[in-house]
Amino acid sequence: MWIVNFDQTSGPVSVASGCGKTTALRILAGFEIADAGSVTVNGKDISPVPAAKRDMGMVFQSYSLFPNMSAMENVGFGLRMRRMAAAERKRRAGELLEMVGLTEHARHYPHQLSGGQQQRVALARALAIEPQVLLLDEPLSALDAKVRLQLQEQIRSMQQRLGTTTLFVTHDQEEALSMADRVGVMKEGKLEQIAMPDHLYAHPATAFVAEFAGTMNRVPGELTDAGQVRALGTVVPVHGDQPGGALTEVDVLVRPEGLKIEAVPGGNGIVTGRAFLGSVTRISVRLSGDVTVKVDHPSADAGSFAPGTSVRISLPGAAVLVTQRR
Amino acid sequence: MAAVTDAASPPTRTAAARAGRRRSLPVWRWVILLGAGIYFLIPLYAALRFSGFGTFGQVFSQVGFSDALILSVKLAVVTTAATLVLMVPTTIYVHLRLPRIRPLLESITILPIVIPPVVLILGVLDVSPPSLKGTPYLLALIYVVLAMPFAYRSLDAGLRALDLKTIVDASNSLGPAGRSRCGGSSCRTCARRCCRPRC
Repeated sequence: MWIVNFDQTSGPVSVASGCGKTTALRILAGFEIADAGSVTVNGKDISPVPAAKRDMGMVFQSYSLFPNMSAMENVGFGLRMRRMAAAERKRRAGELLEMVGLTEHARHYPHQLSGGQQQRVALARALAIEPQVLLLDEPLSALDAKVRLQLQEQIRSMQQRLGTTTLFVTHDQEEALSMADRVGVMKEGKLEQIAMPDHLYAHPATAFVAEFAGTMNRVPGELTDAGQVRALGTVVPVHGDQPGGALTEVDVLVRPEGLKIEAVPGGNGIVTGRAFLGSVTRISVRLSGDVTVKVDHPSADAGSFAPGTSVRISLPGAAVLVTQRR
Repeated sequence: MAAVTDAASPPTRTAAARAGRRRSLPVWRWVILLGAGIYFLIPLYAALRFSGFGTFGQVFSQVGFSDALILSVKLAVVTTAATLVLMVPTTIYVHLRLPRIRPLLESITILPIVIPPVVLILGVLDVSPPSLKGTPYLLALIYVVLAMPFAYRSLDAGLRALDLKTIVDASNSLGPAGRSRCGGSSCRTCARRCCRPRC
C-alpha cells in the first residue's frame, strides 16, 4: 500500500472512502507496522515509537470500553496509567464526563449504557490524556441516524473547544464534508486529494474524487485540439488532467447544479422525473444515447419541467473535469 | 385519572382470563412432563430406598467425613486455580496473537473427551513430578486435564463476546502500562464471566 505522511494540521482531516483508511489510521496509532515510509508528527519521526508512547488518543468503531469498569473508571484509566493522584484523576474524569453530558451515568457500567453513550465515554477517555492527535475510526457507523447527528455536532464542538488535531475516518461522504476543516479522499490506500470541503466539492482533482463527493453526471464529450471539450453542443475548457493517450472521446463530469436546463421544443432531452429537495428540485433528463443526467433547478420554476417535457441541457461555460469514457 | 373508552371498540379480555389462558397447558405437554418426571425421579427414589432414608442423616457423624470434605474442597480449589492459571492466559494469548491456531487448540482440548480416562490417567502419572505421586493432589492434575475441554470452550466463548483485540488496542493507546493493566484486568473479567455459574 501507499504510505502517507500526514502533516500536522490545525483542524480535523477526514479520510473517507476506499480501502486502506483504517489500516492507515492503525499505522498512525502504532498498532500496525508499515512496510515502508514514516509517520511524522510535528516534524518528528515517530515510526519506531510504540503505540503506548505516541500520545495519540483513539476511538474505535466497536465500543471499546473496559467492561469491568464504570464510565468514570474508564475515563480515568489513561490518567491512572500516568500515575495521576486519585483526587485529581476523579476531578478530571468528572469534567470530561460533564463535557460529553454523562455526569449522571458516571457509575454505570458499559452494559448499562446505550451505544451513543458508550461512544461518548470512549471519546472522553481518549481526550482525558490530552493527546497530540485524536484518531476516530468510524466511531459513529454503528449508531442510528439521529444519535449519529447529535454526536457529530458534539465531536465537532469538543474538537473546536479543545483545539486537538483530529483525524476522523468515515465512509460517509456527508459526514466527512459537514464535519471537517479539511477532507481527504483515499482510494486503494492512496490519498487522491486533501482540501477544504467546499474546494473538494467544487474542484475535485480526479474523477474518483468528483464522483465520491456528491452527485456527479457523466455526459459524453469530445476533446478538441485546443485542449477543450465539446459536450451538449457547447465547447468549454477542461479543468485538471486529461485522460492519457490519443483518446478524444471522453466523459465530462459535471454536478447537477452545473448544468443549465431550458424547456424548448425539439431539445436534446426529455424530462423523466422530478424530486423536490426543498429550495431546489432535482430533474432527471434522458438525453440521446440513453444517457440520463440530473439537473438542479430552483423549485419556484420547476413546475414547467413536468415529466415528458422536451428540454435543452447545456453547459454554462465553466471549466469541467473529464475522464475516460466508460 | 378517568379512563376513556371507545363505545365502538370490541370488549377486551380481562387480565384474569388472560392469566388463566397462560396457565393451562395442552394435555400432551402434561404427558411429556409426567414421563420425564418419572424417568428422573424413580432412580432417585430407588437410591434413597436402597440406602435407607435415615442413612443420610448419619453421614455428617461418620468418622473421616470432615477430613474427606476438607480434602475435596482443597482439591477443588487447587484444580480451579490450576485450570485458570493455565487456560486463561493461554486463551487470551491465542485470541490476540495466534488466532489462526484456534482450530488446532480446539482439537487438542477436545482430546480428553475422546481419550479413555484410564489412558489419560496413565499419561498424567507418567509426566507428573515425583513429589506429587502418592498424594491426593495428583488428582488435581487429572481433574485439570478432564476439565480442559469445558474450561477452554467457556473461556473462548467469553472472549469472543469481549472483542478483546479492540480493548487491548484501546488500553495500549492510553499509556505505557495500559497493556499489562488491561491484560490483567481482562484476565480477571474473563475468568469471572466464564466461571460464573450459568443457571
